[in-house]
Amino acid sequence: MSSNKQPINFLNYPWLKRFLKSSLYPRIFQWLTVLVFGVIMVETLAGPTNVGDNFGSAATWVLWWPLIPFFFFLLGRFWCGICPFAWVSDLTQKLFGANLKVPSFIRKNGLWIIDITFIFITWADHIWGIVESPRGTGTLLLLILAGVMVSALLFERRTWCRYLCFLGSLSGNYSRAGMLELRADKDTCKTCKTRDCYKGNDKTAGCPMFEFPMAMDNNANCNLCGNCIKSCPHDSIRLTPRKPTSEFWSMSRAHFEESFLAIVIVGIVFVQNITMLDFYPSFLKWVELTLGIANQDIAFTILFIFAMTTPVLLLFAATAFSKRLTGETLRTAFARFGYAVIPLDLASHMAHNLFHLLAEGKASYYTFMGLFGVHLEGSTSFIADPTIQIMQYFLVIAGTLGSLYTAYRIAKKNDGVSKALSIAMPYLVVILLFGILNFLTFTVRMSMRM
Amino acid sequence: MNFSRKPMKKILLSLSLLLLTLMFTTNTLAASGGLEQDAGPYHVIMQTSPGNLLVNQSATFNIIVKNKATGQPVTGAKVVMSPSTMNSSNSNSNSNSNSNSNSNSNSNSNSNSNSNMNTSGSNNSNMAGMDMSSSMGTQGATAMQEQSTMGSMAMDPGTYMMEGMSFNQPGQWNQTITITSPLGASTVNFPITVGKSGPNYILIGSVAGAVVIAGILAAFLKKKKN
Repeated sequence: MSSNKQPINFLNYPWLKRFLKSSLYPRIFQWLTVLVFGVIMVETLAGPTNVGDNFGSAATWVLWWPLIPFFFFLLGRFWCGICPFAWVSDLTQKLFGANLKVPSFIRKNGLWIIDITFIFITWADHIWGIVESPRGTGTLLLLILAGVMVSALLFERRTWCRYLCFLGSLSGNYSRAGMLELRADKDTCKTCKTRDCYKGNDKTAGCPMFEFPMAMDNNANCNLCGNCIKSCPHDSIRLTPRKPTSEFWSMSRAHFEESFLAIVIVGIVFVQNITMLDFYPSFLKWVELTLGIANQDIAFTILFIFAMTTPVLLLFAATAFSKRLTGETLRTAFARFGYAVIPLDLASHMAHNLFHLLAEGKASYYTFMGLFGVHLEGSTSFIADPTIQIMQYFLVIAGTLGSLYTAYRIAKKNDGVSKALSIAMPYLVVILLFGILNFLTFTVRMSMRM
Repeated sequence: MNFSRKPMKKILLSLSLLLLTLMFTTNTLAASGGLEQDAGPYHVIMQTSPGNLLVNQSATFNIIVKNKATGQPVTGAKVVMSPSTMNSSNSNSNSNSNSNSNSNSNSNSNSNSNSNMNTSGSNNSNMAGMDMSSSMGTQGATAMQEQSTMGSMAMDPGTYMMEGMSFNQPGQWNQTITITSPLGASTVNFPITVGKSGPNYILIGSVAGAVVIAGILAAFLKKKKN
């Protein structure tokens, strides 16, 4: 292969470029999502209280949530660009926004706020049954909507999406393992005096995510809104496909918070899997009896904390072994190698939700028809459980291999080929352990959400 | 490579705060947890899932029966759930929250336990609101299934379960449970609060209020900025 071969640039397709530059993008998708979101809000706040009859719950938890990791993998944070909350944020800001600078506390600690919110919401779901309760789902969406509107009223651009959205950090991490990237041609950008992509111009707003495409070296904060494509006077923007996980191989900046969330998600996905298995109630009861706790919420909280902290501690242990060869600090090495588990996170998340999508997906259609008074009953599954299970196995194995390879490539990039394997070895062992545990959880049938 | 440097103290502090919040919240939940009553030789605990019962929402009831004297679980008992009855005086004035239900239950349980058992039928006006998925007896009562005998899994002994219960009206309901075992027969009466299934206007109003306040603040700041 020729070393100077140009990567494919999707913007070289005139029809696509015209579409992305037009005012239709991303508006046409946003209108659609806003419309569906409106129905979901009404349904979850005022519709049927039985989760099986509620279109809002079905659309959110057996359609949108299972599809979202696939979106991140294939299209980066494209979802964030068409998210109805982003539309609400832009509209609120345009009409009433004070456009203040984002406080440094939020800028510095945004990722931690997101990490903590994400953990809290996951925990709260199990305690209060957010997914199983349409009102719970409605309350969650309403609170997010309030957060979006308040931040849009006070601060500039999409402060919520960049610094506070609990899904934002997850999508940032997942899209970094994905197959699509938007970057600017640095040579072209060096000659640019206007920097319209960041500042905006008369026709198009600047980057809503506070990114300067020339300096962008990862997907974490690009939501593919298309503003830079529209505003760049030099056609510097490239939209290119890439090998999954390749972003981590040449990563130059590592953030402890991002790595921390990545490793915590291992525990979260594991908890999500375990709690949906048939033996979970008896397992929780066993925990209650063993620990002498008479309350299942407390027993779950202990399990939850255990599941969150164990992967973190295991990765710290791997780092402690590995850093003896590199001489790095524990924190630095942890931050760098924590990203290696993202492919496994993503694959496990996909595998878990694949069951809900394929075994319960028809519930979305049934409940949608229910909005028009048409009562439909029948199997909610698209394909048989064993087929889904095989697909889950495939995803988990692919994710594990992706994570193993990523850990190796991170070591190779920083410490050279000769040391790479020995430095990466402790991480490989831990990742393999996570992969096996995840695989085992998919050998047991999951219970349904609806 | 550049790494964002943050003191580990901050991270540990954040995590500790999160853990404390989780523990505090679960403790609060535990404090406002299931309903408990003594009835004859039994100590009876009733738990519902979900905790906040709403109109026409399917719920699971768990009844845990213990020997009042020894605290040991009572297994192999016949636990029969009569159709729930609605207290007409409360039907239009009940709150939606389960915490109220729990606090009511504690106060009621001390004063009512035995005296209400025999009068519940005459005190209550509406018996048509409850549906059960399990088969009903000739009197409309249903035997609850002991959890330890369900499936192949070992469960907490002395737990009896009823799935698929739903209530068709919001308000204060009474649930009568009759327990029969070699220890004797006793009846216990639990109050249940069923919330309205409509929108929670307090929540929606509060959120809207918060947004309006933020809007006023934004307008003020905008004016100041300009």
